[in-house]
Amino acid sequence: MKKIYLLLTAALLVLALFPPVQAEDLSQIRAILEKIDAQSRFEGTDFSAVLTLIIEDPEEGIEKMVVRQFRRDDGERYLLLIQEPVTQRGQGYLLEGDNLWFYDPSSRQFAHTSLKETFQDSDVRNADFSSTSWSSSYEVEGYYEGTLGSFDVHIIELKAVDDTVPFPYATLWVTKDTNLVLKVEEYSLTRRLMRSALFPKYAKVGEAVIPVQMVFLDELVEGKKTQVSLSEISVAKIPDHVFTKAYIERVNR
Amino acid sequence: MRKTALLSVLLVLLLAGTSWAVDFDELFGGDLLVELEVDEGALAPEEALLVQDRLDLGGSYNFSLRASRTFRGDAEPEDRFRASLDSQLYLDARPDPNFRAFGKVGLGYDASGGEDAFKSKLLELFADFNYDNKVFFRAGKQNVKWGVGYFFSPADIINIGRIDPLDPEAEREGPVTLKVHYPKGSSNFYLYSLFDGVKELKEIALAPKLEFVVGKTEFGLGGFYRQDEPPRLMATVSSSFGEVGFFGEAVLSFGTERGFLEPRGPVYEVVERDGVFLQATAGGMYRFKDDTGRFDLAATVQYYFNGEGYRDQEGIKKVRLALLNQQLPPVVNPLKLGSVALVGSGRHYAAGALNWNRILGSKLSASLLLTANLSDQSGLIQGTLRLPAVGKITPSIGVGTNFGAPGSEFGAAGRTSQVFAAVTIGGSF
Repeated sequence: MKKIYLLLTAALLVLALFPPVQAEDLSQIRAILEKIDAQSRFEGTDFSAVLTLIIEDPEEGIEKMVVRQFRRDDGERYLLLIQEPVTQRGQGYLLEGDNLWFYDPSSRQFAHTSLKETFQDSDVRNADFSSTSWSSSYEVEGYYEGTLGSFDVHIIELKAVDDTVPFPYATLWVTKDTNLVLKVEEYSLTRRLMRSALFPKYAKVGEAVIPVQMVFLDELVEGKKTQVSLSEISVAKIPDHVFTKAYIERVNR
Repeated sequence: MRKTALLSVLLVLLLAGTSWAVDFDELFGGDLLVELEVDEGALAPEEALLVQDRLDLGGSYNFSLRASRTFRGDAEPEDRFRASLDSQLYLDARPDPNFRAFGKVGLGYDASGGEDAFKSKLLELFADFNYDNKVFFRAGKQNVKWGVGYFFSPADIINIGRIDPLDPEAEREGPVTLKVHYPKGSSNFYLYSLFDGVKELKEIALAPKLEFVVGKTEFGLGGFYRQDEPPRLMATVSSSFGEVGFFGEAVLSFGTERGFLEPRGPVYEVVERDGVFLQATAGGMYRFKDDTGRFDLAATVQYYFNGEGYRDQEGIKKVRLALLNQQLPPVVNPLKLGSVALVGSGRHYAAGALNWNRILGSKLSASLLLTANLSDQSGLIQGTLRLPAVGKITPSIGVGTNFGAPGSEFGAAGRTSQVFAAVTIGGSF
């Protein structure tokens, strides 16, 4: 009981100190979201990297997954090819605009899947491999100022405007000086915290600034999380034939 | 120095449980931006993937133990035990990015079997090459993707293997074919030349196919032509609305090789029929996961209309019963019995699967599978409970039964029920 009083008092204090700002101030926040989205995109260049996922599950243990990503934001395309573990090697995801296919090498079948689905039972969603769309997929419900670690941040509360995103509500912690997203909390329709994402390291790649280290925490299962780190990053031109079903079939066993 | 900083971040994160347990001061205490080490290899990554290790040998291995007890009517229960080994071996040779050869064989050994205990089969043997990275060729025996149905796929008119509704994700045997694939934007054009059973040039079958996307929906249009066989046209569609994935297929067959049973007094005559036969199927998939993670459910349902099925089920029931009892079937021209469809005789089918992963947050998972011939009201139902895996060891227990009148497609031999326990030890290499 004492704990509840303490939590309520703390919540009231936070509200008193950092009241959510409404209506007229939100245009500034919308502009920040647009900047975040813009700097997450590779305009005029392609992008490729090796993604290493460390998936930690309190019941299943720790699993390492290595994925090669090819990405072209012009046309909203990406190709993900699983290289490790050996049991999933060759499985792939091909995104073309609104369509995402999953390729199973054992049956050599492509099946339609959704950007909202989780990636290989990790805590990452298929949508996390694309550029962000905070400004177009969400509307700002409110924001306040705060700090996270040693950074002054905007804490922005968002509500989805359509059902194309995995979660209907999100809260972003965005650095004031560089517009980098440090943390995201994502909520269900009942406003239950479902997932947290942390972005402790970024790199400037071409004109884009992208997180090179990410941690996704399943807030429903204590201890379940996925850490993603990027390596072998390149913005060299990728041939058109890479973003095709034919390429996935060629690289597979 | 940078490596040390990254390692410390890793350590903080690995120690942390949920987000509130993360030390944000440590995680977000230093520089956010790191410099990248540019390490461009001699080969572009997309080229490197096409040659990989140039020569690769691998496969999978499964050792299965299965004990079952089968109940048939009033007869004594029958106990069976089976130990079997299954393996797939592949060889993948990629001398350069524009050519590769691939072969895969399946090996099986039934330790409880007799003389035919060992089985081997060529699963795939093909070569890939291309013209200017624009037109892609695959020549040889290969698994082919054609239809989009899960339990039933009438549009899959070129694969040799059929979908097993009780194991719909199992690998299907593909044809010997030359596939020509021309991707253009989000569309794909295919032409298959099929060589199975071909002894003369004119017997080569041709199957063109087009895939294209409209919005979030992918359509497929195709055809099949072989001399002296009924030509076929097919269409497929797959899409998603919200959380539900949908798929559908339709096939028009201009004639059929199937024989039909016409009543001739108390007996039947196997006759041929002309005309256009329609087969169509539609289904959907839905996954539900509640906020607590206790209900992680995936459901798939599908309906199938088989225009080549028999309107009158009585004749085929009598034929089945006679064959089961090793009697002469009641047909006036028994030499044509081979064209009668003992399987796939119904006009209406339905199938469904329900999977419950991590039941109530536990390590248990369950699945329920149903396939039914709605025309003769027979079917199969099977439930499996997957127990927690221990390393590469996967135990499961289950129960299955059938229903339907004597002579029906799934209930021909009467009611049979089975309980089983199985352990599979396996992995890939």
